[in-house]
Amino acid sequence: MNPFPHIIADEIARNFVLVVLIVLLIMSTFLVLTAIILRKKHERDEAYRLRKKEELYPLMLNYLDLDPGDRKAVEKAESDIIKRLKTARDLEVIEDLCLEIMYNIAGAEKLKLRQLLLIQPLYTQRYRQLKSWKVENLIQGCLYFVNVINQRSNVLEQIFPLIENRSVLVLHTAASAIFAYDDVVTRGRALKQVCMRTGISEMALLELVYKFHNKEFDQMDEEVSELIGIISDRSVPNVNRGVIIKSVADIGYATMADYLHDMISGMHDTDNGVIANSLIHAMGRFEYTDAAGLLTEKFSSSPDVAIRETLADTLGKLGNTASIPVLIGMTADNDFGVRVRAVYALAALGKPGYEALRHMEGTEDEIQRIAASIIAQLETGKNKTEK
Amino acid sequence: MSGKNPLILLIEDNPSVIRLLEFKLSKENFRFEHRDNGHDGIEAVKQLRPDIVVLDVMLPGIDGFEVLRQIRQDEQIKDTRVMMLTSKNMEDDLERGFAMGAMEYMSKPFKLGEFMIRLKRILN
Repeated sequence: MNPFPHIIADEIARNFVLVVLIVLLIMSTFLVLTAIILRKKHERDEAYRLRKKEELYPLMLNYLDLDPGDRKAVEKAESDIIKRLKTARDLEVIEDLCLEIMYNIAGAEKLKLRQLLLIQPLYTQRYRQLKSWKVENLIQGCLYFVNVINQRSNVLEQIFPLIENRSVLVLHTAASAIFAYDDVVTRGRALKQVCMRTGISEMALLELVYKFHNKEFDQMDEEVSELIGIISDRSVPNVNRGVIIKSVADIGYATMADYLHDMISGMHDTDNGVIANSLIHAMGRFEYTDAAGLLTEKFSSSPDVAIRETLADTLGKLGNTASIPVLIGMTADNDFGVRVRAVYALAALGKPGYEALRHMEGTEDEIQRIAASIIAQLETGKNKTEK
Repeated sequence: MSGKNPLILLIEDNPSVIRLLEFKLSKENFRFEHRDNGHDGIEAVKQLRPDIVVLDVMLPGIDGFEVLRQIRQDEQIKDTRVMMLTSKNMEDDLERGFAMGAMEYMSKPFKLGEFMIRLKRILN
């Protein structure tokens, strides 16, 4: 029998603590060393990129100065650049350089840079990446084609399936590449394919509709036709149709205002609230004053709070004083949010709305307080203007 | 203007634009200097007395409008010819630039050919 069990137990505990400390020391040393190595690698990489940039810059500037008609000189300049592109990193450097300059210049030089982006090794590498299974490769490939899709439309068939990719980032960059293409019908097909997907955030889809819209050439009429195709297609998820409706008003497709107004006229009670909400929002953004009556008739007694809230906001934006009685009625709505919005909407209707606010009776204290605060603000503003 | 080739001072912090304009202007026999912030830019205008200052609006430290204001308020350099070059192409900025005495205003992205034509027009 051990006469000193507590001494042995102490020793075991001490050894255990020692072992743990040694393990921790080894692990932290390993982590520190890894961090140092990674940092050194990053620094070396940056230094290399900088050197490569310096090496390529003069060649690129010379290339930009060439007459595009002088094919021999252009080919020689391209070949001089290609000789210096030995690794994937070099290709990234030349691509970055082209994009950096393209961002700042327009006209003939921009076209030349676009042509330079198409040099064989870079094009081949990026095209190959479109067939990769790695998300980062797919994104890099798509981002490249955003700038050259009009010169290499044959890649569209490679890019279209990427809209179905599980990664939303791949979907986004693939769609962005197609939206840089000049042909509206192709862009419309891509937007529809995007809209058929579920789980895309409203912001992401809005951004894509902005990209679908060509800012360089006026293609509004053709774009409207594509957008109507999507909005009217009931197989497209309602949530995405709703985003498209909102975005057409935000972008300013003025010719769509009447179409959307007609759509509201033909709506039935069973129609989805998301679509109704977007349509009301769109009427406000279009400042479609004549729609006030129709909106009131269709939606003022909707059971959907979100719809009544949007309606109150929109009636304020439309500035039609015929909406005053409806808005006064809405200040007594069951929902607090609707009541507040109705008060603000009345204030937005100018003097008649303001008078209605002053004489508002029978509403709860909180709403009266908000109305009084708005009246005070309006009167202060008025006094300042008069002074 | 001196008998030497015209001196262009570019006050700009974007390396791509600096390299591009340095290349183009040198190729067309202009002398070229650049500074990448407003303070150094104003000092360079005083010391170098350039024939034209090409001035970006978005600069680190003081912005291009402030640089222009200080140039116009300094008796020694107030007649310096200034061309504004900026990505801020809002109408207000354009008006503000001209009201403060800029002779030309170009917004990015810009056409290199057009830039040279405007620059030479100011010189002549």
